[in-house]
Amino acid sequence: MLTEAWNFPKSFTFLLLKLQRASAKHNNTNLVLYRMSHKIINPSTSVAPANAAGSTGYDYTIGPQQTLPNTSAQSVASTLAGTRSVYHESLHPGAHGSHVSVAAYAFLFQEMVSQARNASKTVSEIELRLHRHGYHIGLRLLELLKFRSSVTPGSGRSFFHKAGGPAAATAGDAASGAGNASGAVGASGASSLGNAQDESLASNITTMKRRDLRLLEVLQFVHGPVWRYLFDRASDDLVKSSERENEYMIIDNTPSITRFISSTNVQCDFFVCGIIEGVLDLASFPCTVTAHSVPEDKFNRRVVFVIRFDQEVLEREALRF
Amino acid sequence: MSANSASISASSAGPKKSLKTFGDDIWKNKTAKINAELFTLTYGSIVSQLCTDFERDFKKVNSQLYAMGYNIGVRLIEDFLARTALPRCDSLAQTSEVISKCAFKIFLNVTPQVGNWSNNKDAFSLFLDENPLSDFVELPMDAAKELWYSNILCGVLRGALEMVQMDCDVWFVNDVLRGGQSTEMRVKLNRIMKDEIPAGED
Repeated sequence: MLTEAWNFPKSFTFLLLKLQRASAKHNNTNLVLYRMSHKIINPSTSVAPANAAGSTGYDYTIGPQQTLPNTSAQSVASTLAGTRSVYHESLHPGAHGSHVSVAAYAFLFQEMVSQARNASKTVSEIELRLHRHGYHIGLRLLELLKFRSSVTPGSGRSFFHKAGGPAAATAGDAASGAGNASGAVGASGASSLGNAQDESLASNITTMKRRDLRLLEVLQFVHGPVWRYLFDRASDDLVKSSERENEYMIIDNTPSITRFISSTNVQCDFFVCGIIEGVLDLASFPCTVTAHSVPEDKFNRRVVFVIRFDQEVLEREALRF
Repeated sequence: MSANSASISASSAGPKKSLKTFGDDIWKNKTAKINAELFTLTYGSIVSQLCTDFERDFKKVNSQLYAMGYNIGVRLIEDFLARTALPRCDSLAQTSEVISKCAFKIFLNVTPQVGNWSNNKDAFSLFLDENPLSDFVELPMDAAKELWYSNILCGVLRGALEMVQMDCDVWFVNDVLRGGQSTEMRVKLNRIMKDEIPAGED
């Protein structure tokens, strides 16, 4: 029980650091989605969160604080408690599968582009903004997909039962990936925490799915599961550049979300670039992704996403581990 | 389905079927679909970007979302009419049914409940049991007081209704994200506008 109690916070801290790093990169720490819950890391010793009432800023024991000057920490907690169920349901693999119409998405996307256009002076700034939108989605997507594919139907006992809803929420998100969790039924004893009737999602997770460590694995992950999740099909090709060592290309013959956009002055596919980069960045494969329109005979909207990995990735890749 | 709405759909010239099956049918057979969560995440990213851009002035964010919705609405009605070919509604009651059972169904695949009619039948509420915009969402403390997260929907309805000559006010009364019991949108009809020929260019 003791080991488990510590198991989780450790990985969480890791995630927290990653997210901060990622956010810092884009100078945007405002996370409306998946906001970090305050209650996760609760060391048994130090100050109770209540003492932090009225403080603003960062408290290393409980993470970033969003308390307003005049609000007590209790009310933060009560607000959180009220919305906890959000995560219980939405993180379940079964939650994925609903659809909205492409028209609705196209309208929304169009507004996003025009919003970006109004706020920018140059074309590259527009693209940067779209990229940033996508980037924040990518960060969440990696977590979501990996988390969901870790859920094995049926048996299992609480993995981070104690942390309950918010834990699951922060730890991730995930949608059906292709290869479902290789049901390595993680051992760990049977010290059941708390009440058994709590039907939390956590009880279906025995082992979190292993993250992709090799370059090709993670690219396959983007090419397969991520694409399937986003666009209901794998991307059309995954190619390694013959000229440059650190360059890979993902090819989409019929990009779905920009299909109604005729102008080629602004490359709206930078939104997807952002998603790819977010996923790869959070997976510790820092890179830059750019989109290039390369029409071919049958596919006049064909887009090539060029992924340039940072040098450190190649160096690490060259190591044997 | 209530007798009331059944009679409405019977009178709604075009389809013999009820509006609900009509909407379901279009959704199933004539609509290209995309992952709802991509939609959710994209919208979330837009809202959070707006919050940053306006330095967390949520009143401005609300009105910006509304404006974006309005832009969508005035275009979306075209798409809606093209898909459904529904005739003009006779009453606001019928309009409300069309909105909930067709429009929301076709675009967002949800069917809000219509209710809470005002005494003189010029205002009603839409209760969104599920809201594809707000899955995964939890509002930060400061935003929970002022931000209407899904405010874009109000703009969409307002824009769309305006294009069919109905001058309406649309606003959110309640939102589960702000700790409310339900997510409730209020639609109030101000007046029916006359068909006006747009001013000529010369």
